[in-house]
Amino acid sequence: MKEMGTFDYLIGAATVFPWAVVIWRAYKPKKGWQEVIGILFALVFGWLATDLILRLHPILWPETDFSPKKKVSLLTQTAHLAFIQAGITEETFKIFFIMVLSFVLGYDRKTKEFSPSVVLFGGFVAMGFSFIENTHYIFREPEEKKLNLFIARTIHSSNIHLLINLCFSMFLLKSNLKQDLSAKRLIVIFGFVLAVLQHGVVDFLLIPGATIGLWISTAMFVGIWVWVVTDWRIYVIEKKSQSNLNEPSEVPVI
Amino acid sequence: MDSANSQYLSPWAKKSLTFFLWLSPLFSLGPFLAFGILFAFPKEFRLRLKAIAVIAVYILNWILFYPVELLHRSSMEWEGKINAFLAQDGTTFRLKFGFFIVCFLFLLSNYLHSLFRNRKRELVRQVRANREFPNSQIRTEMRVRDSKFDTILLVLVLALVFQYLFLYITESLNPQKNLSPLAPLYDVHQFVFNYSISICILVFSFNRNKIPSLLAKPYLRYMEGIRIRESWKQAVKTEGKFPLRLELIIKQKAKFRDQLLPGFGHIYVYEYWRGFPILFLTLLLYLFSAVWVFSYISPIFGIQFLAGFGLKPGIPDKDFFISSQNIAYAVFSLAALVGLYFYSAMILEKSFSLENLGIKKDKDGESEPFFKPGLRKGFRNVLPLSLLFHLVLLCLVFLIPISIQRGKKKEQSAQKNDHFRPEKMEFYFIDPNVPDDTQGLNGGVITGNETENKEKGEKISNEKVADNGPVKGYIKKIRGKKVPPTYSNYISAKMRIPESYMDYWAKAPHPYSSVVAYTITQDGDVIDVELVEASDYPDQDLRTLQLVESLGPLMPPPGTKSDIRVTELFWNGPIDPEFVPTPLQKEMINLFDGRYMEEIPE
Repeated sequence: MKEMGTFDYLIGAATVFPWAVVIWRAYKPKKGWQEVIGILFALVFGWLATDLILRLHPILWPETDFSPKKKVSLLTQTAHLAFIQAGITEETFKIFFIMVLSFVLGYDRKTKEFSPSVVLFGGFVAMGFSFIENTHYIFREPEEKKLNLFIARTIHSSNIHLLINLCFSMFLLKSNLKQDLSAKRLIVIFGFVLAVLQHGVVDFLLIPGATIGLWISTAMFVGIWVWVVTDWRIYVIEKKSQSNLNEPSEVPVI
Repeated sequence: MDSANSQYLSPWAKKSLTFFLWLSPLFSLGPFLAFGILFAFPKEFRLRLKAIAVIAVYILNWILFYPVELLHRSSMEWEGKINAFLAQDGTTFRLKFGFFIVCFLFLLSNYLHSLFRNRKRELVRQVRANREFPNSQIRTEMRVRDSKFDTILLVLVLALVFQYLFLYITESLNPQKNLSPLAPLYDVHQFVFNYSISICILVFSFNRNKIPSLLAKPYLRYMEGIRIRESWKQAVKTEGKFPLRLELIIKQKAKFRDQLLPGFGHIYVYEYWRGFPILFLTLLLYLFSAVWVFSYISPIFGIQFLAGFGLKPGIPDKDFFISSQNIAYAVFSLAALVGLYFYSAMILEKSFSLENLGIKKDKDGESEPFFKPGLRKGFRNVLPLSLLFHLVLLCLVFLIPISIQRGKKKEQSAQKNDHFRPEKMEFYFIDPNVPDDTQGLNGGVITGNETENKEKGEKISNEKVADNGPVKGYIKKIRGKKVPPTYSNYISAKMRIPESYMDYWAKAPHPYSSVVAYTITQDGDVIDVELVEASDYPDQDLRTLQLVESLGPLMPPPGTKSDIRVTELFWNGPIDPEFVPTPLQKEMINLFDGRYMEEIPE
């Protein structure tokens, strides 16, 4: 079988590049060395998360074909595929790495608060993950369907990974509002459960390929975008505006 | 005129969003991105206008084409009429040209309206200038571009170019040519959609982002409602004062929205936890009502309607057919829908109580001030969410995607021999005693072929059809008689669902022919699917097998004691024996839907 080459990786990178630019430009607080290093690590961790899942997949679910095609399946199989194989597995790995980065580079141990840069780490871990996942999927597709899949992965898949993890990062910022450590922990756990549910429900609706499922999942996807935009305004822009009222600020156009 | 919240969006963000918004239909985002923009950027005056334009294009297309699609699904008679109309030469061109003329008329009326408004405006300016600066001239000419006639012509022509560009992109992404009878309609639909989006892009761009004259008044009125609401929200947040008169205007606008669609009014005043459950309940009840009403008219229509959404009943067809003839389901769904309209209006009215507006003192401590996030307490607030949760569960039971199978797959039986005995073929499908003059029983489907009666029937082989084809034995066939809806009609109607879902005919080569045999068990399962005669296109043969496999579960064959074996010809080409390659196919092409059916002995 043909091996993946540089060109395939470039195509994969192109599926996340526009969103990386959007996040970079929309993030208005100062981007210092910690943020830049964090972003680079986030991309590597995202890559690592996909790689680990790809390696673990045949061990955990040896009989399942790991391909993105529509299948005739039982309702329970669809639920398993959406919530367990995709939702829990992928989100666990990604969120684990987001937490590691956030604690190392975006956490103030004195005040016990996360800095707004955690949204960058969350976003770029998701993009690192999507980069490799998209590269694999597009590489496997026949030549005549590559363009179609490229657009679908760029617009839908990369975005949904990004939005789910941005939403989780917002929960890290929301935990700053709580004083009690257990309350903070509860908010973060809730963020994780929500990420799994978001991922699971979107996949559950998409896998059977029903038109109405596609509509609902697209509506959900846009709904999460609206949520992230609104929270970004509150937890990233307004925080920053409080410290520097003169600078103009923006929201992401993910 | 522009928004006061320019601090939120930089020019690059606005441009990126606008670009993404115009292309969102191409990216399969539907009208949802446009809805998202309305929610995320309440104060972005121009961006919202574009989002509303995209939503309007979707609504226009839905109004124009969905009724036709629904009619096409409603009965074989309508299907035949629509197919015949679309098959006429030049129909597509005439429809496209008709829409082009409609667009021209719209732009022309906009031009006349704009011209009138602009002249009036200029006159006022002139009078004022003459009064205040008697000896000077106004230097500027007409500044509103949609009041120039050449702009209309430019927009009309350039929109055609844009339309072709969109079409080229769509066809590059989906190179498969649609060969279904509805293909001309899809072609017109695509033209109408792309052309209307192109006109919107150009009209908004050429007019320096000004609102088209005809739309200015309603849009400004709509934005006034949004602006007042945002000011109210700001006033509540900062604990400032807000005039009661404006609060009552918001109440009026919320009530209007809620009358359009229950829940919409609550969402307008940021009551998301109450508004969205009511809205989703409404949409689900509309779906349920439509399913039950259509199924009451004809169960197959109900199934076809669901198939349009990629769904099918989650219960066996037999049960569905029986239930659908009970009018209580349709009446209950419609009554629930009407009840929801009243319920939503009632709790919206309560939201605007004097206590909640802060006019009257809250004695009981039960006031529910606006713009407070989270789910409100109290039975009436939690009820919609609870109902929605239960209805979603009910949906998962009764409505499932076409591609999903419920229950375990049955094992394939070993019965593969002796699957074609035509002397039995029609006794449980067509009642030969139905008089010739029976009218309109199944939309006048012509069944059978030229043989007049049993005596003159031809000999059909008792051997396996795959080997020798139908050459021995007697066969009863009924010619040109209107007959009751048959089991064969039912299979054909059911097959349309996976055909449409799989784009079967869109992908089929031309000409294409293959013969597939399958067994329908007494439980309605489709088993033992076998390719009897393959074509030269293995990919399409595989698709044909998948199509047949996805047919089940079916309604069990009526009046039989054992399973039935179906041998069916799949062909894409003229209905002429000369155009199919094998003797079996030449024989089968003349049968109703190219299908033989027989009962397998117990």
